[in-house]
Amino acid sequence: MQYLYKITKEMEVKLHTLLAEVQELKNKAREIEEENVRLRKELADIYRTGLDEGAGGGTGSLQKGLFNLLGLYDHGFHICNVYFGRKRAGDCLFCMAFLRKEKKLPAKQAASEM
Amino acid sequence: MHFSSTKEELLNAIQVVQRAVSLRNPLPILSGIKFETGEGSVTISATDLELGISCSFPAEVSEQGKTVLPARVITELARRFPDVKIFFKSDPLNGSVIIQYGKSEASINGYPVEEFPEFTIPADNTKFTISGEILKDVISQVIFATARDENRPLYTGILFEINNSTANIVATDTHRLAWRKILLDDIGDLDINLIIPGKTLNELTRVAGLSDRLDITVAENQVIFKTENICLISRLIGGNFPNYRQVIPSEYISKTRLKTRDLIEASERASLLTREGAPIIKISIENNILVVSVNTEAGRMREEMSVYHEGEGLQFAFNARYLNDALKAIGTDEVVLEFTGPLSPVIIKPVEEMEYLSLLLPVRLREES
Repeated sequence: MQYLYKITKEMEVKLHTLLAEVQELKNKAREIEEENVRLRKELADIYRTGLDEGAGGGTGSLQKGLFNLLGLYDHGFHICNVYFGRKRAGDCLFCMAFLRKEKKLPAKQAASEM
Repeated sequence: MHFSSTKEELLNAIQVVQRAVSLRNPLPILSGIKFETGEGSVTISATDLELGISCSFPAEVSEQGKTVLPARVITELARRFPDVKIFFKSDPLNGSVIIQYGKSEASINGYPVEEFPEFTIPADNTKFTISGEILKDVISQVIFATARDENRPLYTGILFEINNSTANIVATDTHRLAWRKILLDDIGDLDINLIIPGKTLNELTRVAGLSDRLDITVAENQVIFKTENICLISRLIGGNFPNYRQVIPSEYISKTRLKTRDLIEASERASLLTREGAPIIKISIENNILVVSVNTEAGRMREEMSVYHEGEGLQFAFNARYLNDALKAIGTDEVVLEFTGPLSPVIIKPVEEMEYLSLLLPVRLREES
């Protein structure tokens, strides 16, 4: 019985250690998730600022903002509002729809400036 | 518990519910099938906590009761029973069930029945009815576009946007999209959006009969499909489905009408020469001739077919698997491909008047980008 008690006690200690490790992993995962959200937000802000500046500075700057977005997309990141800044696998319908929409804007703006 | 039934009735019911059995779940009770007697019938059920299926079958019940038996054992046994009446009798002393068939008997050790999760239907719910045939048809047309990636749960589901007697049913994995609109009778002023897991709908099409009217009950985070003898309960996927309307192009620059089977067969043959994991084929259209071609290390292939083409000639590359999924889902002899631009998806529609379309993005080839 003494032996069984010892084994159970050891198992209890191991389980406590395991639980502590799981808790630590959980905390790390949360930290990484939070950092990921913050980074994606920062990235979105940078591009939004670029687009806003472009809109203020005329069609050429807007085209540059669009070019940057296209660059980001070509580097394998989503630029759509669904998954902005996340790594993408293959082409995305929502990113393409966004690009189509943005491509129409400079044309409309140029037409209104004429 | 004491009842008897035929092998056929028992086996049919077990084959329906065993699709929800969870053999890999750490909870052993979920690898079991619950048997519960009623008045002249037995209801059996299984669940993996995401999806639950129950099925009733007629039986001669002489003593009420319930038990949970290991799914693997009872399924295989039911398949191998001789074609005679099967008697089930539980032993309350040790929780086992004695199964008698002909002059033979087996005793199966069960699980504690009180551990089996209950299927609870919340009182506050919305109900409507739909034809099983229509629902099956719709599911088969859109389910191919759902995502398999469990890291993006929203896209593993199908959106049912029900409003003013119409339902827009949409699936997308963000690379392709399928949309179908149907009219629903007798649903009043129902206005709800549901995202139902693709797996649930896949199982539903397997277990529910074509002629059945399906009673659908929607609770806060659950949906229940009921036919005369089958009940399927599933969780709903939370979150907001993205605005799918923004990705459907409103105009096209050229369109082609062709025989669906011709293109499926040509692209299947061409994809045999493509690299595994990247079945990219080229399609070019000029002077009412569509050419499917592929040129890889494995070899090259070129197939021509006659089509009706309106607009400029064009050349695109597609993922052959995605293209075939979309073409096979249409279910019509002829298909119309509407091309909307190099960065835009091709719209795939049936020739017949039907409110259905699917979108497929062309593949941007390296030398073109």
